[in-house]
Amino acid sequence: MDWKWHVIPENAGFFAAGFQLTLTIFAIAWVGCWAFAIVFGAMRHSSRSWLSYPAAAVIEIIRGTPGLMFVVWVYFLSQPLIGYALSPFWAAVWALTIHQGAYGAEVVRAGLSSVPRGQLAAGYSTGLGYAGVMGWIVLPQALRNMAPAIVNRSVALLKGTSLAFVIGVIEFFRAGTIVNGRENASFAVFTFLAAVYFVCCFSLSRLGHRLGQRPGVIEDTTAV
Amino acid sequence: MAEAVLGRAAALVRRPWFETPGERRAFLLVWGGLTALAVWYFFFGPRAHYDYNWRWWVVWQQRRFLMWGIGTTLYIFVWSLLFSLALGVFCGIGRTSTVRGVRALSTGYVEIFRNIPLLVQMWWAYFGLQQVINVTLNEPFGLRILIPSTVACILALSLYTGAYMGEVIRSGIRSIPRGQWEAATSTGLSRAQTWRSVVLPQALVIVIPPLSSEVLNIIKNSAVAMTIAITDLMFYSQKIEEETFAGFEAYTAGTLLFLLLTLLTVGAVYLLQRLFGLKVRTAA
Repeated sequence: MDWKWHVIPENAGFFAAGFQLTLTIFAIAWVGCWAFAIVFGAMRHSSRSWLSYPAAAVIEIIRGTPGLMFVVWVYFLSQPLIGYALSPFWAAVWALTIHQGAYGAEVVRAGLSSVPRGQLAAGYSTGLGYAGVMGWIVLPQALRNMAPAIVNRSVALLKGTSLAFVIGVIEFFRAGTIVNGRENASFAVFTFLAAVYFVCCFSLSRLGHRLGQRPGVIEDTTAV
Repeated sequence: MAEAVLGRAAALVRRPWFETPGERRAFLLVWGGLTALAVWYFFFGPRAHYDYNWRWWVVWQQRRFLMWGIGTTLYIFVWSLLFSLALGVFCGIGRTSTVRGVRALSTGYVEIFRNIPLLVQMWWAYFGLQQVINVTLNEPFGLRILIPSTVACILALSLYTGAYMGEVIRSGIRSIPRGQWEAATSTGLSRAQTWRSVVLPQALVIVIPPLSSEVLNIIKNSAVAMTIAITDLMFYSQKIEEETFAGFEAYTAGTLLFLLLTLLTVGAVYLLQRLFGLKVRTAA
């Protein structure tokens, strides 16, 4: 019964470097994905069809494609579109930003819709402009309702960073496959990977669960 | 779906697009500006000097690869759907159980499989499980058991999706009022009979819209199977790229075919909802 557990401490530095890259991708894509989500979610929530229809089309098309496909597609798209190939790291960041952003946009839209339209009308009638109504009336309530969904999408994004492995980014999962290829200790390596991912994602999703124990809250937990 | 689309179209025609001249100006500024930017970028911008050799015809030339890929993807999809639905129903019942051990077991299952990336699970099921079998069965007893990658893929995909479906089905079961349990008990139905003929038929119909989005996720997540050498649509898109170096064209074709599969599934779910006489909500 030799599971070769010793390969984990022996390659600890390599795993740590991979994990650091995973966190870097996560951090950059998290910021980008919510920027994307706010713009497209607000557009889709708009009552103006010239804003909401294009936004709906973009969101639904992106949500209809697999994340893995999207990562590879962005990587190869950069060649004809901007004239040079993006580095795998930036291709992964952009792909995760846009792909998770489309899911996030639905969260933002649900959050904005959770505030009754009558409150917007009331806000406008007291003399507030669009920014005032959004900043003082809609967003404080919408954010409270969206908080668990935001955390759950972050879990999905953290899990999604493993997809960057397919275009050659040496993040945590690819670091594991490289170690496995050299040491041939698949049980130990993949159990270790699963355990680390589980600890990170589980603690995040507990946080989301704690935020979301009220009625009327949005919990977006789809398997992406 | 057709009448819903027609209804939306009719409403669009009836309502003026722009209520104020300012809105028309904003529309022209935003979309006209974006169009102008795109035109400038493609014909006069930095990219204009870069000559990408478009070869869309290779996709048609290699179409048999894509057909094979669709076949494998559908095969994986159907088996994973069956297994994950079964797992989801059991897990949903287990999560609402009053027995503490059953509840803890199904909660543990849901939390573990939802919080690990599917890639890791699939590689664990293919490479990790193989080593477990090697060490525990093959080496001591001189056997030669090999896990086919299809089995590993369907196993991982079903366990992963089953955890999500369990949560959806649990919320469906929770939405059945307690009064129905009491009514069923007072008419003399046993617990098993109540589950079978009162609670589950209602709960499973209620959860069709959220469940359908998990069903679509099976198709999308099945792309991950490419990494353990399943010859699915994603794998053959990569194959075309390797054979022809037309990467963008190949992956665009693959993406569009995935979209087609998900759209067909959305249509099937719509028909299913009509069959049960439900008010149709959009499923994504």
